[in-house]
Amino acid sequence: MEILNKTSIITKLDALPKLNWDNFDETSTITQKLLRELINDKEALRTLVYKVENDTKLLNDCECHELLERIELYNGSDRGFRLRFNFSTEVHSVRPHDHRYSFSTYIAKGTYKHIWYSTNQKIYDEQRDTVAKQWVDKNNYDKESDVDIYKMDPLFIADENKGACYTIHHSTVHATITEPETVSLFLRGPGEKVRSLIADRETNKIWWRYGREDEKDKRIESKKMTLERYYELRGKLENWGLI
Amino acid sequence: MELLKNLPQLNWDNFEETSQVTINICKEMANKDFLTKAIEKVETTPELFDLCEEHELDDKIVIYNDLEKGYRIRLRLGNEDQYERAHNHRFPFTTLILHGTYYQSWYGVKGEFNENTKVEDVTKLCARVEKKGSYFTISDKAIHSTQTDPHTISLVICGPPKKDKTNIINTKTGKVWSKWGKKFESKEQIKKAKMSKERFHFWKEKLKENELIHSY
Repeated sequence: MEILNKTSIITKLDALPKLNWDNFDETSTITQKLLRELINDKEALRTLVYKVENDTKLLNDCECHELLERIELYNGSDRGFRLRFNFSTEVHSVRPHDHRYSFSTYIAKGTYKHIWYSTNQKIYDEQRDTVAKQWVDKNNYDKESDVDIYKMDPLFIADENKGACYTIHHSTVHATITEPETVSLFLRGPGEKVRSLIADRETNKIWWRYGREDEKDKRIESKKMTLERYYELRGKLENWGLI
Repeated sequence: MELLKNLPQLNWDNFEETSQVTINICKEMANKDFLTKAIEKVETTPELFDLCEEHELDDKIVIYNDLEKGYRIRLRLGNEDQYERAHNHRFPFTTLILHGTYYQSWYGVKGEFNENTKVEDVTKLCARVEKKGSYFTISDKAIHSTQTDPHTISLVICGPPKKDKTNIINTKTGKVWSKWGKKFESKEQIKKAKMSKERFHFWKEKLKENELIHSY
């Protein structure tokens, strides 16, 4: 039975038809249902997590950032999705940001404060897409950007607790202030714009996030997860009873 | 009812701080003893009962009203008919879901949200499922919709109004309309919205059925 079950959910991922993220209602329904099914299928999740160890491509896509680490579980880019486990780090900062892609997420463990912002200003100037490529972290921030965090208004505040599930459009500017060791199962769509915004409220610094194809090799290498860290996080997932 | 006597003055202009304060108050109020007494008080206090309303999608029982202090506290009671309508509010508020489920969406609107807004100007920014025990604070500037399971019940702390009317768009048909605050409504409109004793008792039974108030 276990084997059958394991096969069925992964077969389901393999058979998932191409997602149409322009149909937000339909895709949010499909992906939220899928995340709920997956989170209840610890065997399937275990299989997916263990497969990463020997899958160079997936392992290569696992990354460690200041606020977030992620294990890439499944690449369905040909059908408009990628599946990940996201882990919050010990560092917490209020950083209004948007994404290059729309996504659905399910909070599997922990909690975070979620704030949705009205930007009250234009964020993107396409003519700066190239020049802004050099401003990609808090030490190399965009000093020439006109974006002003203090013009942004919070529109919505909630605590997202274990079991919360939502889908968010790539243009939404929000912040997630996590507790340590918060874990989400995360399904993202394809990139829909060249770059996305990161704003640090404490310092009013702005920088940008680009897709890998636009990132410098040095940065890509510095963000890659080591095999040791992957083993550590895998062990944690087991200890937390998530896989 | 000690809880109501000791409520702190709220400053809704400090949205983040007031969110935290009102979420904590909602959590304290979400208990059977408090809600039972609050419902009894509405029944015996004409000033509160007069503020209770019936509407197409949801009804409202007002359990406390002190807008100068920053509060209108009510139960939002979802009816059976639901459809998606993106809207803003005249006031910011915090809500805690006591029973049932919200299917909430957030929207971005191109240009100003007014009577000229078209469906194609509206982009859905988020689709959320919020179950019993979930809570949030929302600004009067946010444009959202909350469809609910039938008879979903939530506790709501509303702040003082920041504007005279709200705008609403039916996201399927594109119909746009406004809802004005009570002081701009005709006597007929106000009378039509007033909650009947029968409807109040219907909701009282629902509250009992869902173990939100005592059955005695």
